[in-house]
Amino acid sequence: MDIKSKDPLLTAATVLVVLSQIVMIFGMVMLGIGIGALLTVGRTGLLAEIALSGAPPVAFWLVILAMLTGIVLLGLAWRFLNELRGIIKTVDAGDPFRHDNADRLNRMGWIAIIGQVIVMPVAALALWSAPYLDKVERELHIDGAFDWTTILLALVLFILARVFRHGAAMRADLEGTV
Amino acid sequence: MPILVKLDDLLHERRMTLTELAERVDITLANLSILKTGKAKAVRFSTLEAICRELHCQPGDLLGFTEE
Repeated sequence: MDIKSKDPLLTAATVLVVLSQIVMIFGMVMLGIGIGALLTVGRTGLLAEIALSGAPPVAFWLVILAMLTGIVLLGLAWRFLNELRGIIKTVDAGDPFRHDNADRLNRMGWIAIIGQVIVMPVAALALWSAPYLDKVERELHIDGAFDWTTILLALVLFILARVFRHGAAMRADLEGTV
Repeated sequence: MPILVKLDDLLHERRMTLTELAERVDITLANLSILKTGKAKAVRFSTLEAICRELHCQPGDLLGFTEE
């Protein structure tokens, strides 16, 4: 994996992206282990807490679902950063105006939107569980309010994708010009 | 391609090689080869001017058009 670049900004960006991806993988693994534990050794304990809180038994599966959603969100974030890494590589190679970068930016835009859509039911779940969690003195806060900045980010990414597509077309036109 | 590049003929008449021309007009040999072999998609006026200056010719001597 080549991290070093002639451009210090690109080097710093690559390091940050790679570190973030490692954190995401770690998070996914931890959530996976957590789900495994809850389905096996931790099942009884969680069911007891749910019963104590007065929440319906289905809450057990809602907890599992929330953790699975966490894995999906972290996976999406990892994928987002992977696309960004691909773009950084092409910038470093001095050839960023390519159709595949336009495709990457489009995918990043969709990932942002999908992530926003996925987080909302999880936040609703957290809201629903709040009174029950109070009874067992636990807290869970997930900000799932409709986030305009995420939508704005997605729009910026879609627009940049179009910019890069035009750039790639212009570059193709220029190729073969002497 | 309908546009003909007669660079080979002009170089032969002027007893000049492509490499010599490349050095004189400050255009890479690779780009001049692209032009000579008819693979160029476009020619800048600055390129045309430099070649015509060195080969003492008119643009019409260098480029031709043929109906395909």
